[in-house]
Amino acid sequence: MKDDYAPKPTREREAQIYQMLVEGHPRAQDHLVRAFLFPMVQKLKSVYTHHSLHDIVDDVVIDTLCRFGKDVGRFEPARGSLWHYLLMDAHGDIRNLAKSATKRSGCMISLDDVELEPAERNESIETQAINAVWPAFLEYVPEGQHPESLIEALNTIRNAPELGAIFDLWQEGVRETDHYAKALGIQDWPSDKRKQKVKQVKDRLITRLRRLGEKLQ
Amino acid sequence: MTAENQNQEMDRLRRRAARRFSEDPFHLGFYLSHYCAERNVTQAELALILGCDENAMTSLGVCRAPGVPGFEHRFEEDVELLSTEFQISKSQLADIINNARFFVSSQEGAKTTFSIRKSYAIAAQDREEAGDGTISLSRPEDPPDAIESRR
Repeated sequence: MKDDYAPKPTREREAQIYQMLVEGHPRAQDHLVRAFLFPMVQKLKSVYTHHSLHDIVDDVVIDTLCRFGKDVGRFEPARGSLWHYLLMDAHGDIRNLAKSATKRSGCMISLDDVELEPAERNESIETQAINAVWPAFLEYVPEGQHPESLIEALNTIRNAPELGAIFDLWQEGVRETDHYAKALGIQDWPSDKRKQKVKQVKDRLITRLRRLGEKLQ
Repeated sequence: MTAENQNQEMDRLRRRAARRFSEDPFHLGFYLSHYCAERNVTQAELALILGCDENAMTSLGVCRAPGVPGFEHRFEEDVELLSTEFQISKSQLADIINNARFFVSSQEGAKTTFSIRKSYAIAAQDREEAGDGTISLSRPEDPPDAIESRR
């Protein structure tokens, strides 16, 4: 799946486009769309895998680029890449849409009842979003500028039994249960118990990170 | 995804973006669409007028429109830049944008007049329903025609 992505723009290309936008070049928006639209849509569709979300992803990315082209001042290049900034902006909108839909329908949107790749079958849209947002956050906020409380909280999670063992795998976007089972030392367990345990630990990790994210917002 | 599929998907997304951007007066697509609608020409015909292909029209549509708020003083410079970038007629592009802006402002003027007339009609209905000669708070001082005739 990862090899299937269209390449994201290089930092040099990002800088060129950003400069054009700042200078108010009338074609800057066209360059922005050409460089970011397709790779962003592809990246997000690999996270929000359900086909019913694909139109939403298209629209959210287009709206994100449309908004950004008119208000480039809200991006601070010193804080990280434009790619991650835009990706996080779009993620935020998709998460909000998913939350609104959840509230409207009165139940959690679950992907259990839809056709998905096996590894993602039990993940809610929110979980998928967190999975994707977290590494982007860490990249957008340079290591040296992480708030003290964040570093401390992350270290606590990293040092926690079980959670620490899977943290790096999860952050790298690894999906295969076998890798997690090996990290947890349960590779010899029966398949169903192994899957159950991995899911349990991943859920705990996500809950901890979600709470941490809420504190930071 | 094969290279061919990838190109098709990129084209689809860019067309979708162009449609979305054309709803926003900040972008050139907004004025190109208005021009097409008012003059009853297709995008392909407009491309011929400008001297470019339809693919270039998609790109042109997502560009910032010359002369939008904040860039009023750069209208000519922007038209020049865009015509050079897309190899299109500078004078035709300027004419099309100016015409479209006129159509848009005419439509906005018509909408304002309509809304004033509508509020006057509602106020008149309020007075009629009150039936006691009292003046409704929503009543405008004068009908729009009277305001117009005083100018």
